[in-house]
Amino acid sequence: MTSSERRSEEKRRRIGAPPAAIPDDLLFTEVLPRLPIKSLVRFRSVCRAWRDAVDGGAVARRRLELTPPAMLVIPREDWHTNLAERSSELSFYRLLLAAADGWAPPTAAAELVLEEALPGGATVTHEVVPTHCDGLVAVATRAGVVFVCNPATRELVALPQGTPSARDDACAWGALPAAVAYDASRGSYVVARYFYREFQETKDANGNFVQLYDIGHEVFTLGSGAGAAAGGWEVTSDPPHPIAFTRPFCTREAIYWCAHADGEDALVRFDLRDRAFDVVPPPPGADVYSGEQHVAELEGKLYYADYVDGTGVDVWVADEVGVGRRRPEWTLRCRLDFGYGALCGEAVLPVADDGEEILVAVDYRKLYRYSERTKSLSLVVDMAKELVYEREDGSLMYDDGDGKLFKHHVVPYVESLVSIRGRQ
Amino acid sequence: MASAGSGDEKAAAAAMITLISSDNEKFEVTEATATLSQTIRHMIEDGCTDGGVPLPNVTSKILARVIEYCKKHATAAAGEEGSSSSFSDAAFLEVDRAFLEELEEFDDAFLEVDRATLFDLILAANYLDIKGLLNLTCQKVADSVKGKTPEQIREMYNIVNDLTPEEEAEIRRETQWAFE
Repeated sequence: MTSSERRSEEKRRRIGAPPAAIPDDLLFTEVLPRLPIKSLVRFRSVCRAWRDAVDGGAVARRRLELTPPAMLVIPREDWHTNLAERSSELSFYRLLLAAADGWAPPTAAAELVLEEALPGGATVTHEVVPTHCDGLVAVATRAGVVFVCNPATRELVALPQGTPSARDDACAWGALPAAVAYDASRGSYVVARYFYREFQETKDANGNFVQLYDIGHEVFTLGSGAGAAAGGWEVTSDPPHPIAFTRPFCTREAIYWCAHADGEDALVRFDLRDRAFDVVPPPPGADVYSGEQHVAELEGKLYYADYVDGTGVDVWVADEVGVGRRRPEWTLRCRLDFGYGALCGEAVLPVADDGEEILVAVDYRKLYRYSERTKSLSLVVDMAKELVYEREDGSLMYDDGDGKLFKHHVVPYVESLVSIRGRQ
Repeated sequence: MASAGSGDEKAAAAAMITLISSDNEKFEVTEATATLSQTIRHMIEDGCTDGGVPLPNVTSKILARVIEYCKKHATAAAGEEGSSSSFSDAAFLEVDRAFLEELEEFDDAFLEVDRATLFDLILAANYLDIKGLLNLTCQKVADSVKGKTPEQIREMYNIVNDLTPEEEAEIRRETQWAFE
């Protein structure tokens, strides 16, 4: 049928019987949220009501409820190969895992979601720390700049430079992490970071290490109408203890920074509603202050991977439900035995958990699956050996084993319509 | 309470509920079938289903279809104890899988209806609060429009474009990629 035939058939039907319609509220709460992002973005030009529905946030929120969690990979050249070098773009790939089926080995592939040049000719260090909330990925860089991206809607924003950190410059570690979270009490997304006004590590008269520090903390509210650049970093009260380079937990209610309190590890909890700090205990036996990346949040729960004897990790989980200053209560989810030599101590990040199986990304290189049913751990994919990233121009990017090395950052992700600038 | 013969059957032949359509047709269904509807479940819990449940918003034609859906999925819900893992290793899901495939075929066939019926099913699923059916029917509508242009959407749904040419141009300029 040609389109003009279709049109005239439509017209006949309309004349014959009034067109069946779905009321707008049902259309906007139940039908639109089930559309792919690309269609939704395009349908903003249907009419005002549709545009306002898509922009209003309700469609985005409903869509988040309906969309299953996924995983992104952000491949970055390993900074060990060149500390000073930068790149001018960021790219995000969706990690696709084939279900292990019968005899076939499980395989993985990376599908390009977005490859985007940084706005205003900016560059980004190879070393990054990504965090995620509702489809927004905050990418903190070694240079202290934070980029926020929604790969699905192709929004990529460089936040204005925050307060410079005295410790960042002095330290050979990676980037200073930034947290991204949804502040339900204000109905807005925020990015938070900490910075040191002063940091010194010296020995006291008895030869013990002493830290002299002055730490600050600031938040940036996204979507403040006229565009992200219109807002600014707002300095909050100071964190009560020095914070480590470990990435934070970002939940619905708070941001938990890994900290060091009077010789003990602790979590410094920044309450999103009260905008105030509080100290809560870390999981039992935890070493949260080290440089490794081993904390994550999946579907509102806190996950912590604790190294055991260099061959395995204990995965601890804590619920954070309800409002107010509830302490996280940690329970041991499982022990993962990787065997001797499998862990480099760089990162153990739980990236998916469906209750039966946990996926864990190890050292930016390997992805393991732990089955609750069989109590067994198996390698899903060695990303360094098996993943090939196809770029927008068709060229291929992969870890060739000796020249270019990559860190494969696996980020729990959910495809969303959430806007960074907030189209108003 | 209606109770049926032998002990074994007794458990299976649970309480029956009478649903009454807007055109006064009566449908006898099992409680397991009826309670796929949260609306009806609440009514049963509140003990207000004696003498039948009037559903003034649903015609007999649509109610018959809704019941057909609920019957099939009530059986599915009963057999779906072991939940399936989304990134799982296989063998153990073999049984589930055959059943899920059958259910999928049922759903596909169920959706072979004209647009007016589909919309009526959405309204009924929403009114009766049947999550699975609402999901299925709304997804069908979403799938049928996702590849369309804004012009085609306006035509399909009889929508008047009240955006100014400038506004429309701005949307296109901002998000050109979505139009390619």
